[in-house]
Order: sequence, then structure tokens, then C-alpha cells
Amino acid sequence: MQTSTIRTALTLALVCAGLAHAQSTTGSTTLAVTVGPEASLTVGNGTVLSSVGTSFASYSGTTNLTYRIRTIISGMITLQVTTDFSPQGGPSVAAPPTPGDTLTYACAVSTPGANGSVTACTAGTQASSGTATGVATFGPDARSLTNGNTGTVNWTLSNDPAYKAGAYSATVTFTISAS
Amino acid sequence: MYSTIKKASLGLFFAGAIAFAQVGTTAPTATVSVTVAAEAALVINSNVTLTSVGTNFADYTGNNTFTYFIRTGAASGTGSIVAKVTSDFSPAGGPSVASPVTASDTLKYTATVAAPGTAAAQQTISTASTTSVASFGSDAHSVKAGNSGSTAWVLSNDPLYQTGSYTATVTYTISAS
Repeated sequence: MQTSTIRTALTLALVCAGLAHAQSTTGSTTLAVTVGPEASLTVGNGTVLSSVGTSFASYSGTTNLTYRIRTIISGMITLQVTTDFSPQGGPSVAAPPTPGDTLTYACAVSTPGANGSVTACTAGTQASSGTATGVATFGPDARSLTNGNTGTVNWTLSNDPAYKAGAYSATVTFTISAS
Repeated sequence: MYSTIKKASLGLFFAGAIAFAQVGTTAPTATVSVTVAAEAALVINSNVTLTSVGTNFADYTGNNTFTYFIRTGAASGTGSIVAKVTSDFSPAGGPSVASPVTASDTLKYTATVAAPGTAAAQQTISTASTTSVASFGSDAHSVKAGNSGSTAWVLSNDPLYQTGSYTATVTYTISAS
């Protein structure tokens, strides 16, 4: 009887000990992520403008871009001449030697590959050093392909005899945004 | 007379007590035995919020920690911690482990575990099968309060994901033999 009581007590103690450290062999965690509007842009560097054909035909050239975008409401790509042509004596966006000399562009932007719409700028859009001008606008729920979608900006720069012969360069900054 | 009877009675009682003590003397023993077996348990300490930091379309990242308790067999025991996505991201339209919108989209993790565990190399987690978080050799013992571990998560940030909030459940399983 005494032995049985001790045995029972030990058994209970072991069971209780077992219950006390009975952590589970499995556990779960919740991974939560909020996917927000986002956009990024890669622009081809070193666009060379050249005059082809007749004398004093405008200089032209193409800048390639690849965009990635995810919108809720809308998005846009803009550009601005952030450093005017230099050195002096040649073309200028801010202070052309002849009124009417311009740097204009036309846009071709592919539709976001996954969903949504895009509207590209019209031909003859004039680039400015004072304000950003449009390249493309995106509608709601626009989603590009994983590796991005493409676009081009085709430049036209006046070819003014007043330009002093030489090599000139300007910097154009593209900005993409999404909301 | 009365006094004689009292003495005689006391003598009898005394003698009886001695007799009883001799008969009842015993030293009972009990055998206490316990088998300490291989055992393991796991506590997940936190949920994970994945965020994209830095450049746009940088991958979503986040960490969580866990505490493990383990005892493996002394001779040829082993142990492991594995993980599996038991509930894929929802709602639909965003990231997915089982059916990513782009084939290269993944949810990966890099584990860190305190000794005696050995963390696995970076893994791409799955909904179909478990992947290794850590392994243990023979005669491995955590401290009583448990040893720590963590998993650092990396989720692809694909422009194809619809904007919104998504959650998934990852289940860890620990075992010892």
C-alpha cells in the first residue's frame, strides 16, 4: 500500500512535470507586407543628337528609358533640363540665341505590361530648364512588368546658324512618381 | 495492591511496546526511475512585418525570432527545425509563394541559431514541402530557458503586385530523436 502510494505520487509528479514544460513542437508566425505605390526609372545615358539630311536640318536623337511602376491612383514621368547646354555660344534651352530655337521632344511609352494605362506626351513638347514637362502619365492600378516596360523620348533641337561650331552637352533629369 | 497492579500494568505496556517495535521495524524502499528521452519544443516570439527600405522596388525584408528547446539522443540522435508556408499570402493579387506572378519572385530566409544548432544556408520557402532552418547533432542540449534563433526574410518586390496589404502564415516544426 505504501509502495503504491509512493508510485502514484511519483507518477503524478512526472505527469505534472511533463505538463509544465509541454511547449509545442510547432509554432507559427504571420508575415505581413503592405504593397504600396512605387516607381523607378532607368534612362539611357549619352544621347547624341545629330543633323541628318539637308543642311541645317534639326538635330535629333533618341533617349531610351525603362520604367517600373505600381500605382493606386496615378503616376507620371517628367523631364527637365537641369543643366543647360554648355559651353556658351551654342544651343541653349534657357537663353537661345534666336527666339524660336527650341529643344522639343516626342514620347513613345509602352503600356504597363501587367495592368493599367499610360498616356505619352505629344510630339513637339518643349523641354524647359525652368519647369518639368510631361513624358507620360499613368492611370490607376498601373503595373509594369517585373523587369519594367520601355519608352523613348525622341529629341529635336533647332539647328541655328548662329550656333558657334563646337560640341555642347546638356543634362536632362527624368523623374518618375506614383501615388 | 493498587500500586502493584499499576506497576505490573506499566511493565506490560512497556514490554508490549518493545515487542511491537521489534516486530514493526522496517526500512521501506522505492525504486525511482525515469527515462530522459530526446525532446524538442519551439516558441515563436514574434510576427513579421516586411518592409521595403531604400531604393524603389527594393525587396521587402523583415526578421522574427524564436526560442528552441532541444535534447537529442546521446549516441546517434539528431534534431531539426524546418519551416513551411502553411497559408499563402492573401488576398490574391499580391505576392504568392505557391503561384508567384513572376516565376522568379520568391520568399527567402536566412536563419541564425545559437549553438548547439547549425543554421541552414539561405532557403527559398515553399508551400509544398518543408525547408531547413537548423539542424542538431547527437547529444545536443539547449539551456533550460531555451536558445535563441531568428529568421531574416526577403520577399521579392514585383511591380506586378497589386497595391494592398497581404499576410501569410509560416509554420515552424522542431523535432529530436
